[in-house]
Amino acid sequence: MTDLLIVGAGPAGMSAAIEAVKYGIHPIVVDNRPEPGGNIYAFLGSNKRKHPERIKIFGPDYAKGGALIDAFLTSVEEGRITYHSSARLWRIDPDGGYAFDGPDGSRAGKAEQIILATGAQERPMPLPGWTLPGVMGVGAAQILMKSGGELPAGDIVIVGAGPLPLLLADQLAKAGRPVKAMIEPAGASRLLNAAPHILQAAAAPKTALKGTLLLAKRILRRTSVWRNAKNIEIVGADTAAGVRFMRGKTAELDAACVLIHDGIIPNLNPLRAAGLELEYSEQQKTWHVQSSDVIHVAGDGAGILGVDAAIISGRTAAKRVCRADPVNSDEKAYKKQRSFRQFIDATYPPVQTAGKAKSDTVLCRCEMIRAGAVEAAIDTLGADPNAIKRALRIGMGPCQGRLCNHSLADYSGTKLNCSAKEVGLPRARNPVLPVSFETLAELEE
Amino acid sequence: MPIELNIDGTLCRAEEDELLATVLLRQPVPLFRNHPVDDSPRAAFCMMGVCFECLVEVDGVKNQQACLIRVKDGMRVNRGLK
Repeated sequence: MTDLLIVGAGPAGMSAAIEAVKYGIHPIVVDNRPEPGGNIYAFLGSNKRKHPERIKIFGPDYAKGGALIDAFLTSVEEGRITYHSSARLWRIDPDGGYAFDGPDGSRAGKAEQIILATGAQERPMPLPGWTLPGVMGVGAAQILMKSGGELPAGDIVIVGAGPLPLLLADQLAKAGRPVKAMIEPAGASRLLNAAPHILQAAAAPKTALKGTLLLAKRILRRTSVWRNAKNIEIVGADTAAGVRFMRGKTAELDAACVLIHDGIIPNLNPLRAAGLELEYSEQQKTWHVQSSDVIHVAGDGAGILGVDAAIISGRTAAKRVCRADPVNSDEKAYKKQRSFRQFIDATYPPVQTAGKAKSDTVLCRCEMIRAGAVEAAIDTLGADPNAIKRALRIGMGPCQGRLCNHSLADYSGTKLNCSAKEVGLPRARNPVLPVSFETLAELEE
Repeated sequence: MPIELNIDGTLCRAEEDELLATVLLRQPVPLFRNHPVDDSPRAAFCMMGVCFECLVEVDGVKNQQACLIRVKDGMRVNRGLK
């Protein structure tokens, strides 16, 4: 039996592992990337060693993760933490059962306690043409740059609003690839009219707020911004060629690279397979989960609060596992992050483009299920996402609904004039990742 | 250190430890596969292991997520492009 299994080596997972060591626990950490850091600190360790020029592009907020990564890897070297990189957790049970496979083969076991620090993903943003090569998430583009990659040659257009698109636009400019235009979907930004009001209301960290507002000002001054765009579609035959949208009349911008973004949501699949209870957050228009006695959720997986909160919540989860009391200063700092997030969520509400999808827009990229097929299924079957999944195979491809479960709920909600909360998500089951029969056969009893 | 990998029979240079998806996106034809349902061309989309658009065959093993794998010297990648 394993004492403590931690899934994810991002800020929350690393901080949980380091904290657990302080209480004499030897955690096992499983992560699917080749090096620790999660999305926000992706490839920070190797960039520090081999590509310091990349650190400059991503700035001090990226560089500051170095201390956490170093502390984590030092504990790994000292044999206090067992770290499985490039390992995929494919089973997680409510009672602590788990299985993963990686370079060292397949393992299955049972942990007394599990901390899921499985992080966040970008909210799927179904638009006509979003399956074309040349279209990526804004967060995806940032990870690509951190890994040393380059966006396709040609004009870059961002479709979306919020802190991450602003940050990426700034970083792209530093990398010598300025963004040609930002297209904000109608309803994506309330920065201009709501900010002063919310600023007074939120007891948020003042520097973080100031930073966000300054960044917005700087980017919006030098990049052409098309606000309140409707009927957005990505055009192109075999690859992205441009973005067409309505703003009074139809406009079209050429682009070889279209980066889309509608905020971030918890990576829900492992949490749901673990049988944790879901609760819909009206503020974030997504589901949050509650920890159980065996499985604790830390970081953005429990609700999007950002990196500083993730580090605190990882530490707090480890304390809970070790039956230690939370620290007062942590609780205070965590509350501050929550108020900051309230400001961000109120300023950049998700557009939930799936809710307005036209009948030929692809909702499920794996099985190529279009909104029209879902509408027809709702007419005969009602809103039950499990019935629609069985009828259409929506959410049954390799990604197992990671890129369409939300969209199905948002779309069904619009069609039936109710909230995505009432529609709910289809059941998530183990295995949470595709697994080969060979892997299954390798497992010891 | 530069390494060499084989992409669909063509030798390509890359830096040791780069992500396979990053290397594939740099190729003259930056595609990963044709979609099994409708043959449409696809490329890496999420870069964080959730969308499964970057699936390629690596050293004979099908459906590997290129955004989570590092390249190695002598790696053989089959995109199966049509």
